[in-house]
Amino acid sequence: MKNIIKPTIILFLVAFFASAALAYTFSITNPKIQKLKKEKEAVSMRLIFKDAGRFETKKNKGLEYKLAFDGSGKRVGAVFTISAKGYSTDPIILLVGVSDGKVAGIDIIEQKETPGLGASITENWFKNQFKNKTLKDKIEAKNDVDAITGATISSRAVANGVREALKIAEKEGM
Amino acid sequence: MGIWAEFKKGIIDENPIFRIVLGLCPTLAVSTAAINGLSMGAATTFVLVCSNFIISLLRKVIPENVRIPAYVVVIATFVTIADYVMGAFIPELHKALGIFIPLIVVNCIILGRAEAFANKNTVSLSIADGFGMGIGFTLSLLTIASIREIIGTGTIFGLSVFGPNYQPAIMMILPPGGFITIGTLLALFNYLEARSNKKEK
Repeated sequence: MKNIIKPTIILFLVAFFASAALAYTFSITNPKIQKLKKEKEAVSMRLIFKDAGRFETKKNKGLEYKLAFDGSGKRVGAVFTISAKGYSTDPIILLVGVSDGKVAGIDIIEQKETPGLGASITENWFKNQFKNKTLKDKIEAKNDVDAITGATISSRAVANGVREALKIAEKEGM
Repeated sequence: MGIWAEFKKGIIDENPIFRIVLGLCPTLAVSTAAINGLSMGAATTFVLVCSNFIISLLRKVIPENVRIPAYVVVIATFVTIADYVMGAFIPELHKALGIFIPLIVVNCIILGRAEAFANKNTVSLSIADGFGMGIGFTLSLLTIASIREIIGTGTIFGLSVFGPNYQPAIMMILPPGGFITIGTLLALFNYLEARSNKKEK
């Protein structure tokens, strides 16, 4: 019995101090990391809606998305944040810009897919395929849009995410 | 051996990549550009020194039968700290290294030095060993990455070397280029060591 108590206590103490150090580091760095994430999102939204001068957050029964307005105050579209399950255990986070039921553009803001394979979903040729898609299109990898060779699951995840965004957009009248 | 000797050995005689031949996975993956090699080397050195320090400090406290989980917790904690700090303060480099920062946890060099050195030596010697191995790793990464970047993209640290008309051999920044570069350098260092051994005889 005594042979188990000491190792258990030592392991507990190691884990305890490790957690304390991590919690401290997290409390200092996380605010900055979140701020950088928001800035990156703003850049992505401007890439999708080039004429947009202003973005406004809209909330509707637990759903939150952004409305894009141009310089004259006219609404040019909406941006939806979609979480899609790809190959990695961490989800792919994509922004889908929709204008009158049509995809204005997409951007991948977070992904942990395989480098060289699924990670290629961030390449422009892949993202640009989704421009002008509507719910009348199939929006299917390997069918309606090209998939990335060796990364079918990642490609499908993005296609599914775009379709989901268009469905939400239709419900919201965007 | 003194502190200076323990530090020096990691740079050439016991270079982790070219002599001990550890940590080749991240080496191959990250050595596509000089700045990536340098950043990965710096992050790994940080984790190596910190983990060697803690593991040496606790070497008489951690029971042998639970040393591996204890070491892995220590190493993973420092890697996560490095990950958070890089993500908050140098986001471009953090994005460039991407998924390879968390993979520092399974870089064999770190657990290897913990097992082979830090748990049997004093704190000051272990810190010296960590620094030496880390700098040796960084210099090796820089060498490999510079070769691959210069031939494979015509730039070094992003600055053009051959001018705009250079046709880069893109293979060099893809996996085959990594294997070829590392294999050739390894052969070269083996030859140099064999020759210096022959001279001593």
